[in-house]
Amino acid sequence: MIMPVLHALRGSNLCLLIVCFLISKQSMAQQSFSLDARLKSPLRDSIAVILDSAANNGIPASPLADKAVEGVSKGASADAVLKAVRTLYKQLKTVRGILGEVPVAELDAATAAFRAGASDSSIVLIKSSLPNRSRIVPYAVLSTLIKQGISSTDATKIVIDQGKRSDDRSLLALSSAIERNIAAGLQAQVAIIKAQERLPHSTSKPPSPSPPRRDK
Amino acid sequence: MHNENDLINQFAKLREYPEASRTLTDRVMADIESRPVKFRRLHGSTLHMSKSRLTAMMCVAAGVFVIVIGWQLIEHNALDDSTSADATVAPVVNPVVTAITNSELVRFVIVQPTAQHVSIAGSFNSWEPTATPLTRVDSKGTWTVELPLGTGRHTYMFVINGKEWVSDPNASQDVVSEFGTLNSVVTVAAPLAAADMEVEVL
Repeated sequence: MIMPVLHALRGSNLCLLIVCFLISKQSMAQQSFSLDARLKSPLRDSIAVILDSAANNGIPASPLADKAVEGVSKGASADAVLKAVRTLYKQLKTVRGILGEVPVAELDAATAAFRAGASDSSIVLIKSSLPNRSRIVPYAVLSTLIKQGISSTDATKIVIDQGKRSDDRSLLALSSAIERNIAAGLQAQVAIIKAQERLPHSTSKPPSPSPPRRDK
Repeated sequence: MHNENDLINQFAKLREYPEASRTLTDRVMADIESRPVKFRRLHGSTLHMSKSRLTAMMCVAAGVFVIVIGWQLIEHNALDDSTSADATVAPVVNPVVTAITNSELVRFVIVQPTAQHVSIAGSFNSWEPTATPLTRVDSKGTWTVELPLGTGRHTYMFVINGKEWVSDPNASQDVVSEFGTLNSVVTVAAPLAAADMEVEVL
């Protein structure tokens, strides 16, 4: 049974397959070793149950494992670590349900935006409005703008408008400029207008004013 | 002596055989070279591979091996480039830290005159408090490290002397963690394409 497969994977293809397998196996072993070495039972066992559940629900394990080792590194209690990982699992599951299957980094960034106060509709709108590109930075900028007191709706409009016209760097530059303007004492709407005026090729109008709020 | 004569006679007889024609030799050699090398037999089935394909496969395997090893070494050196820190005693100064994005390489800087050891822990190194030390670069207590970070959002904190967790007051964003600390956030954009290099960035 194995021979037809070997025939099909002759030569360099077979060689590359073996190398890829060894690399992925090493990576998985390193992650497992890292968790085993850094988490003590019974916390390790509880985290393992959550990771298993995540795997069964299509939720990536890496953000959850990162959260667990972050808590352990910072000396948090086992209860606090477990609570943080469970909370993050729920958030990841919610955002995964909203977005469907997306790369881990994008899911992570969207979940951070969700935690910051982005609405479900904002997260979906960014995905549908900025297709065929990575949306990691747009979601990160969405988080930043919401944390600056800009509403989820307005922040989403800014991200989509700028994201359609330019690349990630311009989007980050706009976000930084808005932050600086707000830190300098300008109101959010004025800060947005000033920042957009300074951006090259900026043609969009700022969103209509609305009070900062969490749209959920 | 008798044996020697027999041997000479046998050689003489051998020389009497007609020499194989050049054409025949060439044909035989060409036929051998055109046949695939049979190098393994498993469960009654045979894998065949020509010499040129075998050589190509070996070259590809060697190339992949070199790339993998090189990648591992680069990654190891980037994250484990430790330098011994000077143990200086100076007045306590609030840390000034900055993260500067430069393509995929992010430079982290912190001023900690009294620190004996400074490292950075974050989502990019599994929050290992001592895995990624900073290097002290001047007498003012400036510590720095450059890390290759992938596109995306990374959270981090500095760890002073292996026990004090310090967030970055100048980071573009902070998030309150569930563990009572303020994680700093750095977002790395995708590298610029050549055509985008002249775009002005505020």
